[in-house]
Amino acid sequence: MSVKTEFDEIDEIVERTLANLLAFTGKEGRSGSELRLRAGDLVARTAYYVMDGSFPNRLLQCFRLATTSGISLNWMDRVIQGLTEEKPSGLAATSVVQNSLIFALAQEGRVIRATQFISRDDVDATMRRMKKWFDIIKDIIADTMSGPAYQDFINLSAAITRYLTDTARPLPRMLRYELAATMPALAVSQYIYGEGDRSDVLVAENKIVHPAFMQRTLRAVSA
Amino acid sequence: MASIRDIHNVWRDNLVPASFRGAVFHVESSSRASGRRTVVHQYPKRNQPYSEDMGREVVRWNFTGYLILRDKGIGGNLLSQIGNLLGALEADEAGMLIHPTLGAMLVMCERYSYSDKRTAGGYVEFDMQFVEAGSPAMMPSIDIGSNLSSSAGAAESSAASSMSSSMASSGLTSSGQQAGIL
Repeated sequence: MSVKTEFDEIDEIVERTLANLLAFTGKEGRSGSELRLRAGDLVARTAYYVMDGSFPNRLLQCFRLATTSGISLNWMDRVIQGLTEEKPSGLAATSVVQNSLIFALAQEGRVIRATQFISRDDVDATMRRMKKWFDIIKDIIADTMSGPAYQDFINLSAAITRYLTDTARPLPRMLRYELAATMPALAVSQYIYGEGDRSDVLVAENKIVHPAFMQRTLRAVSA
Repeated sequence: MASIRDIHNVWRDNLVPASFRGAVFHVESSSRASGRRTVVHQYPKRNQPYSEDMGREVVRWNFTGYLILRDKGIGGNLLSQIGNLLGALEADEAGMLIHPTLGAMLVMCERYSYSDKRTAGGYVEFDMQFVEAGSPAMMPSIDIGSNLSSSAGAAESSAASSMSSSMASSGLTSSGQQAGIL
């Protein structure tokens, strides 16, 4: 593969990845504008930054800015999905895809750390989501034939798993309640928790249209 | 008449009666098992595994011991000797085990079995399994949040340097060479 073709390939990958990164809705704030500025700059001058050796850190900076500007796991999942669908042929382009996956996974770790989990079910759902990515990315990283990269990936996935496990332990479980009759949210909150001020949470969790009429089958945290 | 005890050597001179919490018994055989705890990492598409050392395996002792009728070496009668040993094996917490050759160690009795047979009247056998008592670990509390952040940072740095190396080895970062192509 010629050098020019390889530059073109990297260009296209970077353009698609950063487009996915910029597509998330929380673009407000200084870090959001900084992200747009840096991503635009990187897309416009990819070849130049590759040649001067600053490309990896500039790309990493974009990922970090996406995290600080409030990207969600769902949006980062789209970035990861996009990267897993890339089919690079050159060595450098392959490395860009493989290592961008690590960047994205590291950001997911940071987002998870900043997330306030309400119930153990939330944590379990996140764990299942991460497990799926770990399995996919593990095979891709193994292709780098780099021991340290693989070890760092394993350490990161272990740290995320450990964090989620430890976070889940003290959290209440999400339970299904069967009520005898339709009651107002305040009464249900009093009935389940012995206090009325958690009615708003019950309404939000069960997507109730009017808080005076709670459905008889409810989902609520155990404590 | 000379007894075998009259022949002296280091091993025989240091031999002591085996006991657990002071309850003495004779030893038919004993064995010790331990080693290193290892986690074997095997990587996809690599021939070289990595065995990670996770510390020493706990020491376990297996004893086949016995008590015999009209034993002059142990005080009391056979029934009181059996009672003492059963009491010692079932008592709370760890106890001191004296090994005939290797000396004292603090152990807990994990399980034991007592057996006697019609054809060997006055002879009772004990199979005893002991495990090293050790001491309570001082469990460090890990800040899992910081641990996650540092792992993320390490993975990012490693990925960035891996990307730099790949670009350099592909000849993309030698600017003088590429300037003309672009």
